[in-house]
Amino acid sequence: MDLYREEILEHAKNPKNWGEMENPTVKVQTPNPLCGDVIDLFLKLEGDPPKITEASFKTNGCVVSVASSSMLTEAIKGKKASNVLKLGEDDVLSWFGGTLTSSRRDCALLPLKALKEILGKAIIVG
Amino acid sequence: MLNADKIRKDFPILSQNVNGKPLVYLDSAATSQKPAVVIGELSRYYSKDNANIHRGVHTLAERATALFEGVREKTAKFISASSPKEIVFTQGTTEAINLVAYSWGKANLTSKDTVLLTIMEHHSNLVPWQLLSKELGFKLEFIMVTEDGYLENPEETIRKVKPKLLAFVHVSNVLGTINPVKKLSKVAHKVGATVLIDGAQAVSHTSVNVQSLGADFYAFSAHKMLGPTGVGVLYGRRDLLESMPPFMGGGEMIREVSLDKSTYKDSPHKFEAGTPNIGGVAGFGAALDYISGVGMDGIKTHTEELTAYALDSLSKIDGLRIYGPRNPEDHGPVIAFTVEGIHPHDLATVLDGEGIAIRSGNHCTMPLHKHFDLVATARASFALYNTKEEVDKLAEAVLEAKKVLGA
Ligand SMILES: Cc1ncc(COP(=O)(O)O)c(C=O)c1O
Repeated sequence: MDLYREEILEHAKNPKNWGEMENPTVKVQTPNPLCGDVIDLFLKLEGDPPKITEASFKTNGCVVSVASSSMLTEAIKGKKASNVLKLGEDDVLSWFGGTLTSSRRDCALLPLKALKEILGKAIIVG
Repeated sequence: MLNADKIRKDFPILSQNVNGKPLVYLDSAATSQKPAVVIGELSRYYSKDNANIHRGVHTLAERATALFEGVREKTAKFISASSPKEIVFTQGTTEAINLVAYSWGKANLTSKDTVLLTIMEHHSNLVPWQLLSKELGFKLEFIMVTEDGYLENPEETIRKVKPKLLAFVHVSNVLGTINPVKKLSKVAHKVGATVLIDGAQAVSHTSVNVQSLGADFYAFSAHKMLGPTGVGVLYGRRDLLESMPPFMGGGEMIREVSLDKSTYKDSPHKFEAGTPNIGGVAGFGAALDYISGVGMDGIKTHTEELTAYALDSLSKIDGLRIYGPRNPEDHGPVIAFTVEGIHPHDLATVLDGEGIAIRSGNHCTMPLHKHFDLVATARASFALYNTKEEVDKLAEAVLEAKKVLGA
């Protein structure tokens, strides 16, 4: 099983940045309409132009969406919001090394969708 | 048990490897595989008989019409309807239920009425009633489900609610529960209700006699019973169909049309506007013949034994929970389960790597999943071409998934 290789499973079993955040700048809850799973994403933004200083998440989702959330939150911490907005679907999919079948892509892309939703709002507000 | 080796040879799709392993197809509840005679009939029909029906006097048109109407007769016999006039061809179960909702429902339901459903309904027997209730203002009530997957006090609920329509699933596509249709229809008729049965998961492995079941309407899909996609059946008691207005307007269903009004053909043609899926119906006829050839009794025993065997071997797995009746006699060949610590999608992906096709998700029953506090389940379902060895492979692969995913 390529998809469930060591690195991905490690992220799923011991996800980075797991849990609710106290006093986040922004938070969002995004459902995956295909399976009903839900992801909660929390961000703390500081500075002008805004920078992501903290990111965390919680989800009842599968290995793929947990690992993706874990890797995504790691990848965006300390980055400028404007740069994070440039992250594309291909970037996220590349973390899985082309092992995702088309029905599982949505699981991997759910956290990115949540992130785009929340950042869009944050920047308008900010 | 049936002679699986012999039967499997009839299904060309089964003799392939998937991800390097022999395909183990355990998703027949979503759609069954098709025997070569059905695939062949589609090709034969389009190569030899293809023409539009009920419209031409030429030879091909007459042949196609005779074929189409012949399958209607076959279908009527298959479910023991009293006449082929009680068989309406649709696209599937979903369209059949919508037909009842928009034709019978609009003509018979008012804001004073109640429609009684169960919480184990497929969305196709829930959403049409929600839509219509918004329009007509009738009440929707639900029979609940017990922890072990049976309807909760259905008779009392029917007597109390006194619905105008009772609509429920014959065999649940998740819990596998075989509902007591005959008993509940009787109670419903006593309080004056009309009864609609969603038979999508029953017809493939049970002899259905719509008259002795007491069904006023009975809906099912060809593709879940070895036939092609795009063909379904609505059985309706003749007097009911005769009294109902058309569902869609168009060609095939009219007797006379002037610019300001039309008169309609008798049922079932009144409900079959437009060119139907003639080729699909031909293929469905071949599926019915195939099932009759094998024999429904044999199919029933075979799938019952597989289900009992699977219930037994799956329930031995640590952390695996089965939803639905534990008594195999009450359980159709559909088993929904969860494995502690593993998301159903991950389970299905690991199993796919072993060539095993199961379904994961909510199987179009979100309210039922919510009732059990679940987002998704894994589901294995069996048909006449499955074997005990395949059930063993399923159980082994679940154990393997637990290892891989560390659950
Ligand atoms: C119980 C039940 N009812 C209705 C349906 C809908 O059938 P179809 O999609 O063929 O219209 C299904 C299958 O998906 C089912 O399992």
